[in-house]
Amino acid sequence: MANKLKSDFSLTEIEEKLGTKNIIGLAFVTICINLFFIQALRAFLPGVYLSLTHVVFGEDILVNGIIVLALLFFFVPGLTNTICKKVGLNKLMKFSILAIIIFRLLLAFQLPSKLETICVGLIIAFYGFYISTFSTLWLRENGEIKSNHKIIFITLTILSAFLIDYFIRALGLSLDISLVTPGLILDWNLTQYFWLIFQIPLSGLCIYLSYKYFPRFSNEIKPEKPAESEYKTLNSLIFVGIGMFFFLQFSLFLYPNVIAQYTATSYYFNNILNIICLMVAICLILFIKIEFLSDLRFSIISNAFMILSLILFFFFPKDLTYVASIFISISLIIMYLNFYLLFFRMTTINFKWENVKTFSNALTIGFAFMVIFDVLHIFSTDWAGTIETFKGLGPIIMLIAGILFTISSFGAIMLKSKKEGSKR
Amino acid sequence: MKKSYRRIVIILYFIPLITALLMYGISEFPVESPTSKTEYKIMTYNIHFGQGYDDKLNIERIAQNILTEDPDILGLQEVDNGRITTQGMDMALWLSNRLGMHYFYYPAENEHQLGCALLSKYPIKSAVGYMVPSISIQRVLVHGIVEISSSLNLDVFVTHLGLINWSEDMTAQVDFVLSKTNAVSSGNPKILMGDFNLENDTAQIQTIRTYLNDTMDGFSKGITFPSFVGLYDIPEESIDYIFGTGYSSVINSYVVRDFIPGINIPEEFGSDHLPVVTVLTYS
Repeated sequence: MANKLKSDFSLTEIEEKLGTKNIIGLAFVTICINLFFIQALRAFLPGVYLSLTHVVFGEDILVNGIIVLALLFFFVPGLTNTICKKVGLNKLMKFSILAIIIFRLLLAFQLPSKLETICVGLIIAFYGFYISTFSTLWLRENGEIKSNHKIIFITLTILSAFLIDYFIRALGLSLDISLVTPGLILDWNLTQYFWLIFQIPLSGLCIYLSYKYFPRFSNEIKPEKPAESEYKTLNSLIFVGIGMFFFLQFSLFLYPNVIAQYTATSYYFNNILNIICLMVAICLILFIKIEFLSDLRFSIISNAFMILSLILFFFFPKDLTYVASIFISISLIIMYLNFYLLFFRMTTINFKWENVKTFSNALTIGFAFMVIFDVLHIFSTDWAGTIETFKGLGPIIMLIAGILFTISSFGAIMLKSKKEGSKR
Repeated sequence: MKKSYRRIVIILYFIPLITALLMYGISEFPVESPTSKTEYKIMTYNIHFGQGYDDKLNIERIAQNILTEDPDILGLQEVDNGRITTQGMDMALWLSNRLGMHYFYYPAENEHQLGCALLSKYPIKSAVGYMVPSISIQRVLVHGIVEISSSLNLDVFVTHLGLINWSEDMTAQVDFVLSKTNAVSSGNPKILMGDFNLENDTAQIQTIRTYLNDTMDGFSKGITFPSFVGLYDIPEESIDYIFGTGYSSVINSYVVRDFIPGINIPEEFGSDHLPVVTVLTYS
């Protein structure tokens, strides 16, 4: 039984194919890029939101209006395919890595707020280019490595970035310390540049490793398979699911302090528990076969548990306290597994496009849904007074996002079964 | 994979968990309260969700603004916890650790956002939050009992009221706040502080004055909003207050205007409001 469940994934195998230095370099750079993206996503919305508030209050409408338009950065990844046709996949990937590293480095220079917002917006846009091109190239080339293993590798680097993000926020007591200046009043002209001590060597190392040890990919764009358009709805559902994952994470579940506040439990308890849950999710992805994780029965049970936890969490948090917080932490594991499943299925979608277009469109559509839900959730907070309909709707919006996320993961499973059915 | 590499990967994998456990351990150290004294510094500060006059989110700057006065009891407004627009941080938890104070936070929206917080160097014996009747944005009132010594407890209220030009019923809000402050029959001295969004000459502030003293009376009342006034700007409003009863005397009351002496730049202000400070004595 244990053997049936056990995944055959092995880092050693990838290491043997690529070489030790290459795998370390590849893992280091991809984790860093994913981490920079997480930090950028966290820093972007406050900047845009503040500018939006200024626009509403009629302050510096032109400048702030331009910053609000920076939301368009979320949709820039949709241009990946067009750019790739001009410059090639590999070149765009390398340029995106370089751009992300440089823009992240610029953040450590404590730029004025509006420039900072543009800077993090650019990181998000370039991350769209990067993840689309890298995933396409990584899955297409290095044929000696199983494609399942390559997908697990990408997922692991993303979840590892989340783990590092937890580490940074654990150090900062819920605050991403890398995004703030450590000092202001005493010698603040100097101390505001404190993070450069870390960011310059880190950026240098990332650039060095990405040029020296990143696998050599070709520049060519080629459609992987013939057109497949019959499962369009299911495919789109997967893209929506990616957006819902980011919305749920960044609006609530990435933050143990919110879980603690809702359930009137200790922040420290939730922080430890959430980290353990992420570690468990990483282990499950590493050691359990995707076939088991994508089993419909398992998925129905686990997602039903997640929805139940969300209902308990949003509607009875103060009655259930630690029970609600433990349930929601276990649900985090399910969220990460759903994300893995969605990502896994995404790699098998080709439509009539090239794979790179699948990834970039998935991210663009996902971001679009994330922005819509973010705006709805923000309306339920500050602007609930302006548009009264939104008053108290926060938990409902979260619950709808959770249900959409669940449906999308079922969609991913159904897509798999339909494809298998049509093969037979 | 080489055994040594594998070990490194496993150690790295456990570092976040070890850090979280260590931070939990550190949090268990008791907050040291100063020995009881006769003069107590009280501060109210609308921190504008940590976003300064330069539009930059920096909670450390708020901490440093507060530390210029190092108050014993602190009432904060516009405090967020885990909101996407403020990078998801828990501002009350963070500030309480940074300043070495006990705290109580009560959110207004979605169970975690837009709240008020009471921080104190002395233990907060009990605390409760109330939803203030609101037409537009939901407002809250925090009530905490601060144990200064075995013989002296303070009933401290912190609030942030609505905006008249957002059609808020300010009279109803003030009446609600007063109903809670007047309902306390412990005989402890009381403090009511916060951002009332009301000027001194309004009828609602006059109503509060019939029950509680404005600690700024007799001292020069300065503007509290906006925090940064440029060369050509006109000072606008004085809307943050500290009211009290049961104290022996007011040693001093003032609006803190200067965080970096001799310099007036937007970057020195952690918020769009200025903190109000009062020094009270209790017999």
